[in-house]
Amino acid sequence: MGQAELPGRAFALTETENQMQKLYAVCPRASALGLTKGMTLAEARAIRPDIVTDASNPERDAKKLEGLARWLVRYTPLTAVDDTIGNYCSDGILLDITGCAHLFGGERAMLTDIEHRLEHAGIRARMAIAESRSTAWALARYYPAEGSMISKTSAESTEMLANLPVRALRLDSGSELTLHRLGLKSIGSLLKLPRSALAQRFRGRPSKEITALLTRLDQVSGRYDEPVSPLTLLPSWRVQQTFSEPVQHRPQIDITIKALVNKLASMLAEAEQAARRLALQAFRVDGSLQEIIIGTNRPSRDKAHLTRLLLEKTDTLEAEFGFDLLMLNAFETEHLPPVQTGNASAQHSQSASELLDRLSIRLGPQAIGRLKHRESHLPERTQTLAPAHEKRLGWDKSFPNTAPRPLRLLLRPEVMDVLAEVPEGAPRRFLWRRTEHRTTKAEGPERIACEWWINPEAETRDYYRVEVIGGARFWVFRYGLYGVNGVRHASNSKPAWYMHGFFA
Amino acid sequence: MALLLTSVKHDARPFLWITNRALLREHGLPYGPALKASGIDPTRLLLVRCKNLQETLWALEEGLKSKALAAVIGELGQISLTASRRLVLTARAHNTQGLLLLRSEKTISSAAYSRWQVSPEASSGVAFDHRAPGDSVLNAHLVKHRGGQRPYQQKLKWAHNAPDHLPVVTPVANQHLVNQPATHNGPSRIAG
Repeated sequence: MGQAELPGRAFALTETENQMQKLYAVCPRASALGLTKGMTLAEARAIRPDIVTDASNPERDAKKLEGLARWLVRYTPLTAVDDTIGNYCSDGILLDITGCAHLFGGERAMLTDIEHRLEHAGIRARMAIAESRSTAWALARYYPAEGSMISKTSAESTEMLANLPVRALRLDSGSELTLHRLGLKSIGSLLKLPRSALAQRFRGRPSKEITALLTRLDQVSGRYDEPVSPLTLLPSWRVQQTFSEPVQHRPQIDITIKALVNKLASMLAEAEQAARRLALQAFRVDGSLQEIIIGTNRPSRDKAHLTRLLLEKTDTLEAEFGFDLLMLNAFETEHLPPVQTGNASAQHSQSASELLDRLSIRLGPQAIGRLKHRESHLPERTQTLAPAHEKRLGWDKSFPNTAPRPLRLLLRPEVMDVLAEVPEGAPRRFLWRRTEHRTTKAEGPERIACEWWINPEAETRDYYRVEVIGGARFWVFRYGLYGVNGVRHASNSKPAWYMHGFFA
Repeated sequence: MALLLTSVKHDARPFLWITNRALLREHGLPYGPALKASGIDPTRLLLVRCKNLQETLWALEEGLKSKALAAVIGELGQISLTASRRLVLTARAHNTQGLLLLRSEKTISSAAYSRWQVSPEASSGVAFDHRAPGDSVLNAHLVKHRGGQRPYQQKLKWAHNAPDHLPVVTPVANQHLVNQPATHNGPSRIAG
């Protein structure tokens, strides 16, 4: 994928396995010369000495494949990358196009459309459509015809599968070998046999081999259903806008977003639903996808609000060669009955939550907080910051304090140097943030004990409300009590003083 | 801060408090129990923490545009004349109250409608404990007022248990109480 075309030369990607360099992928010219995947590099060089090689990068390939699968979401939301099955690594994409083909003018037209777009993006692909996943897998990889194929009925698939090798059933090598020994080389021969005969022939082999084989046969004939687990979340609602010429400029994109939001909002209004998450997907002409996701606090279908939230984030879109499709998906929809306009209090709460949406989209959801009450002795723990949409903040249950509390509380108490009477005097002079203050008035102590059930090592605090010369008022505390000899009760040092808050 | 709170008291709608982390570390968070004790429901406070001045100004403008708030209070280190003019225009257009707490030592010229300089003053004593700090006394100096009001200074008293109004402390009464001698035996007698 994405290899440079070197005129006249063959190109291959190599990987190192057991200290031997093997071919990982070959270009069409190389495969025409007979070079195959898995061949050693020495052998390849013997066939074609001037082969150009480059190291393979399976992770990058896997990422590109996933990106392509996401891009293919424009055709159907159920896309997935083929799983790694035994020896067969994922080099394909699966699309469940049940019910989607008519939107693109039929299955053949859809295939042609995909082919053209991928060619435009520089990707060669082989495609097959069938009614079962295994059949499509087998046909795409092993059917000897050129181009893509469609099998419309199961009879047609059985016919097309008949001559394909048994490998196309994705069996492990042990089963494959057994089948070859039994003379069953093509799928057709396998399908002709009755199942009981197969079970008999496989007698003596581990039972999971026969079950695997039977499962595969059932999958191919459509008796066993294999659903596709999609790569992306399935949206509840979707509107889209295609462009005959790719758009690159912001004004065009903005206008389209507005139109899409209007369309989606009217669809939601008719169904009495509102969405909490919207994703705008912009499909580029080079086969990649860009996405903007917005979330709201409350389910909303308000056109102005949603448009504003989306437009806030369109700076992150990179058009490069342009977008040819913009899709707006709505997730997490909830029932919302029609709202009566003119109700002042409802309007207030709605515009408050819209303001919160706008602020959290731009500043990040952690930037917004509300004060939440928590039961605790320690003053810094009676209050926490809760996210903006939290409803139960607990203030109605809080008890009023006996002594006044400061209007601002420092996030962490700051240590300071204090001159005070021992053992229970209020500070007379203190040095805090490099300024010395002299107190004129003080009230206290308010003794707040530690929460022994949480931290038995913590010590008692004596809080004082002090006023200094000039009138400023502070809330300070002494951490620990003086014991005998002026030394702290629990440990062997003097208690420390801290600044905790400020009064008006 | 007492002045700010009285301006949001008589409205049940939420109010925005916009600040940045540096100012929070320096001056602390608004403390819920104290707000509740002064009669303001702490659930009304919406705290917004911005990373820089540009975000703060943007958040202030968004808050002023919304019609659902009682007031928008912003704590800043500085503000330019053009930015403040923009905020004034937005506040006037949407009829929302905007208050800026400017934490700076220099005088800043701004386009605000009125500017107050508030500084603390020594309080008078409390009836039963002459050592305790009394009610907060603030010196509110109206430095500038667009409506033509002349600048004046006023000493206001803010009691935490009766914060509905800020009674003006007259000079005479204030001095009288301060001059009370501190050495006493037995219960003090307050006159006045």
